[in-house]
Amino acid sequence: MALALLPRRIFYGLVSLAILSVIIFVCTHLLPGDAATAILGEGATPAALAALRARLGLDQPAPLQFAHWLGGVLTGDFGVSTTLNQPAGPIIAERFLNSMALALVTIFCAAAIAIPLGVVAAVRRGSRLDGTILTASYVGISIPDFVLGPVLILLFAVPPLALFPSSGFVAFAASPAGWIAHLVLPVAALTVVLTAHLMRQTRSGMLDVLNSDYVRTARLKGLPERLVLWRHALRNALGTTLAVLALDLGYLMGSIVIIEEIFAYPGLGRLIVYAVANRDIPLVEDVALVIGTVYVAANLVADIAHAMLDPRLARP
Amino acid sequence: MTELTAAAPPARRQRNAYLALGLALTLAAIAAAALGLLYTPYPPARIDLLHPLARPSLGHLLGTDRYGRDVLSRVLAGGWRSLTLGFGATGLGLAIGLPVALATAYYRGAVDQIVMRFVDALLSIPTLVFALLIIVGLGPGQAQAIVALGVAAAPKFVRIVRSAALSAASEDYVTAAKARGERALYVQYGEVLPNIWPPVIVEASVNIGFALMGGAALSYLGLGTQPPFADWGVMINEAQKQISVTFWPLLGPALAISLSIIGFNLFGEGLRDRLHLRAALADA
Repeated sequence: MALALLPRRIFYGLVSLAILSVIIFVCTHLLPGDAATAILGEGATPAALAALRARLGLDQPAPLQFAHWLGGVLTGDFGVSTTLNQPAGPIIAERFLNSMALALVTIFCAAAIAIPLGVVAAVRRGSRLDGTILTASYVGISIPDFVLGPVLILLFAVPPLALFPSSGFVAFAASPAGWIAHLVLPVAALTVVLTAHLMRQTRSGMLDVLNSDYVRTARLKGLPERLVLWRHALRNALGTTLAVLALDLGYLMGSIVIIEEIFAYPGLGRLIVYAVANRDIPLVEDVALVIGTVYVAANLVADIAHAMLDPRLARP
Repeated sequence: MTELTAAAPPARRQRNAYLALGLALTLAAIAAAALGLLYTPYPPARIDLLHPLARPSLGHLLGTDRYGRDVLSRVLAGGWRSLTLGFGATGLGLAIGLPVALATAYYRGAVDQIVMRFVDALLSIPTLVFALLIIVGLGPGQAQAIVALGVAAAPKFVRIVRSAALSAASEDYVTAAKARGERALYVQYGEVLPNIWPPVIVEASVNIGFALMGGAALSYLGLGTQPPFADWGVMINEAQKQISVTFWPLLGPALAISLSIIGFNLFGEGLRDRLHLRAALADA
């Protein structure tokens, strides 16, 4: 994508989010039993239900409810969580930061491991090392998060090793060391998943570049292979990889749901599971929309990074 | 979504080995699930409070869980629930995705544009989160999990099938069919569809692996199969609670789900290599 196309991409991103908000609203309003029934239970008197519906705005027509929700979100009012009886905004903001800490540390670790391995695999394509790396990434992609998490707990959080806490969270401000200790295992689990994914993509991106005309030209020119690899090939392969990395932030949000639940880490993933299990509809809607926004924003960053790193795209 | 070319094909022997291993694991998973419907060493729900959390022995090959229930019996009995999730969700995803993709590729124009905007929007939340949204609407349960994962998989199928159908639509045989005045439905299902089966089958196979994982994930979260019934996700959740005491109850279901997923993924990937298809990046 050339940078000139950026406004259009932003527009498409916003259209996606607008459509997503409609889909979220429709999904969460499918079941006949509404939030009022979920809160008061099946045995509630009709009068109590009607009163609560009026208070939550559920007696209004659906399009009005939708407009009210989306209008609120756009002006920073995320509504009130029906099970926690607190404004949803501050809860989500706190959990959002926790999840982003998890995601960003993971992305950093995964990139540090996956990019070198992916490049090596591509350069030594067909070798035993390449085969090993590919097989490892197959296995890494296929192992479910909810198997990986307990296995890590088994290895590192219970005796004999018991190096790290198996669950929970400590605020960074309260104890930086505690914060890090609680981050280690969830980050390790997510890193395995992401590394497997990223390694394959780096490898195939690098292979593409190695087969391209300009790399062949560089080789024909008689440049030493090291220079061809590090100066010419890697720069472009890195563009693709960075783009993929930003996309992976969206991919990661799926794994984060499970991993946060396993390690009782208070982030967006655990919040949406809680909200779904307790039918806290405003909270579900808000968190889903935030997750979608993260993905769309990451996509944009990916586009921009790609455009800036690929000289063919950066020129107007 | 970024589409990258397939990694350079590994040696033919290695490729066939992947395909064979994938097929073997897939068949083993199906056989185990079928066996579980007919026979289990013990009744899977039989509680034996005198022997909780037993290590594997000749009597209990995979040990017992915290209620003394035989883990092997429960793995076998839970198999079909997990596999039904994978197959059912993939079938539903195809049933929704295929007609939409064929129609949009045939008519193109404004409808195609609108549908693709919806697909883009749906692909901007992870499949699991989309499935969670549908669970909010439908409530927890195994059938609901199948519907949720099937609907959540549909956008991916629309995108993949549509791009295959678009390239098929410019082929001569499609032009010829249109020129001789065939009906739209005949062109879509009689001409285009038979020519795009390979990518459809590959994606379906890879998706079964991911749907298995998603289904077990929902069960793990307590939103899929409901106790007292168990599938592999429910069993892993229960076993994790005793992990500081013993890991034996975890072993059976963890191996079963992991090997099944590896099987379906390897089978799909092996098939893709065999058919020389470009790798559309499959993401969960």
